Amino acid sequence: MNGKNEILLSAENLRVGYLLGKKEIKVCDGMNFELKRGELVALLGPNGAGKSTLLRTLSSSLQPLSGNVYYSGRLLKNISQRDLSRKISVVLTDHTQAGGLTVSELVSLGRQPYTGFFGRLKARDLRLVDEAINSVGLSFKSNSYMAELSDGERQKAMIAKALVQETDILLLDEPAAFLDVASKLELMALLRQIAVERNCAVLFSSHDVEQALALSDKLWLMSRDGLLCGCTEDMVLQGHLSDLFRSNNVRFDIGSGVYRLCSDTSASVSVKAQDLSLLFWAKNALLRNGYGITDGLAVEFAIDLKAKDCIEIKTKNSIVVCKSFEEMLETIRENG
Amino acid sequence: MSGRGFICTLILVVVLVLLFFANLFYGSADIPAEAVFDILLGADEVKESWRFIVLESRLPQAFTALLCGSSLAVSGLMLQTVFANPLAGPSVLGINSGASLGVAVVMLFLGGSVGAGAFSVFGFFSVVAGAFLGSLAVLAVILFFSALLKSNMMVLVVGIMVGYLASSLISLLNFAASAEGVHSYVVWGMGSFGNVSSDVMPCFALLLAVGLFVSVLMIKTLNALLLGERYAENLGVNVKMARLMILATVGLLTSVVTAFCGPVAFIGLAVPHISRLMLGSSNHDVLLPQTMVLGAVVALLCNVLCVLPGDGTVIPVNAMTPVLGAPVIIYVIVNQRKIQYLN
Repeated sequence: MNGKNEILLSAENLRVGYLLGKKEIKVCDGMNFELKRGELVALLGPNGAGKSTLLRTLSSSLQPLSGNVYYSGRLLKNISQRDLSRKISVVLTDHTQAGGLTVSELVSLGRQPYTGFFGRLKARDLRLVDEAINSVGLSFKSNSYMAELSDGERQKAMIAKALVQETDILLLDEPAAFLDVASKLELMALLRQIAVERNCAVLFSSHDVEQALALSDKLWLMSRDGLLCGCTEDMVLQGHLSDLFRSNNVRFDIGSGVYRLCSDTSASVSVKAQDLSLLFWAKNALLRNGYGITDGLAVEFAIDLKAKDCIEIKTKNSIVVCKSFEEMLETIRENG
Repeated sequence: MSGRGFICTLILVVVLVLLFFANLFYGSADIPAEAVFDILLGADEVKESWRFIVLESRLPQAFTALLCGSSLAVSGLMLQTVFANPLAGPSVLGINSGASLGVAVVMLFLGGSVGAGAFSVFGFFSVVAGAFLGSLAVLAVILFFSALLKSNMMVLVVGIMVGYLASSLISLLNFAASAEGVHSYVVWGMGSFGNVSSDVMPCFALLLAVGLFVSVLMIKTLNALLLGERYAENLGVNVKMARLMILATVGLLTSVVTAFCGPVAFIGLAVPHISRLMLGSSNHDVLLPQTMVLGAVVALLCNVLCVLPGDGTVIPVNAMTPVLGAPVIIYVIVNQRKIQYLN
């Protein structure tokens, strides 16, 4: 039952969207997927692709337009709201009025599916609340008001709330949206830790492709055409990330794992370097300036990076040694 | 209950008791304190008129103020949480006006009355029923628009508009009504805690007690609603049902109070804020009971302050509540960045 590969959530021919009066507003159609225990899954897609709509449908706060969602083989819509609150927890982007609650009061709310009529907390509830606050690293703030927390800390507190719900599935809608780089990384590490240590499934939507690629086990790519699911690396190498954003100006660079703006290559350059970081940043500088990098011999410039202050540029008729990247770029521009 | 909450509530209960007795000892008639003591202790050798004033006027009035204050304050608190809007309150959302409209229809055309004089069972229930239906009608309109409008501020504006509409209907009704009816309606509209005679008191108290009891039962749900509807849903709360329950309770409390005491403003709006500022918390476990006590305290205080020193002239309650309430709201708005429960 608790096996690593147990399928927790699955869908068949799922169509999600809204009902506006009697009119169906379809957002995404024909989705099939499986969400397994212990997986950290990133849901990526352009704005308006329906990431939030899908997450709402999975948390049952929105009904599918057609198709079925199953939780452990049972139809999701046949599970009562109270039962569901112990199986799926959510972290949303919604504005809350929680500023006047302390962190531990807020996290305690996550025990509501288990507590009695008046919501009184028993010893076990209190212990779980403490543990959850601990595991998101907020113990030092457990008596602070939510209003006093930074965005990153608030998000962690909401995750702790979700943890005390003791659910198998954790759904997060853009959990890293307003966070700075350090908080983003911490948050992602935390999600990864939750998936592994608690052996539950964590599905989060994100706009940060780079971090999703680095940290998630699987990618769900959502576009107007539907949903593509697969292991992160397979998805990259099969070229699915290039098709995700339908823009002529942006393409996915498989070599570096980031999206880049395309530009007409004005000159071709070959690069050779002493170490990988030099090579990486040289490519970064050249690509940004619209030079095509090739391995061929018929190039206009051949650059050899011996050190960060010793850059040798061979043009057709001369060799120039530059002391910085700035100088290197100027030389190429003058001779190009 | 946290230490701070416990101490706050304890102090408030002491103040409540003191104010309750202040209401018995101080009024427009000049009765010496020893005489009031004697009357309360059941001594015989006291002036009959004094006994009547203390037991049949001041005592029910103090009870009325206590219950009304609690009811309005709790109503305001629940509305603020449900609508996620710190400026919500029975008078702001037009629920008062709806109740007033219901009362106007009954008083001006059906001859119902809540006057302290002759008490008729029909009059009592028809006025309460009118107020209840009127307030529910407004609540239904607000509920409809709150589902339609994303912004809570806009819902508030709709509430204010509905309030104006109800007022203009009332003005029209006044045109068609008898002078006597209009007079009793105008007097009622100024607000007073003195309209509940001891005969009606049991019914009045029972209805409000039911409302207050139900609001205590909603504490867990109200806490979940602090996170917004979708989080609450995910915590197992049936949001639609919860909203309906809370609004019906608010309807009951507000309409019973309004039927008897007139559209008392500001207690529902301001008391929850004073309460949160005192506690520093929006956790309803502590906040809701304390708001009840504080509401009673404020209403009793208003009632005492309404008796002007000197010749004992009594001014209407509605002249006093804004004096206490408006500065609080202005303070909250000016300091909203610093007040944690608004962030």
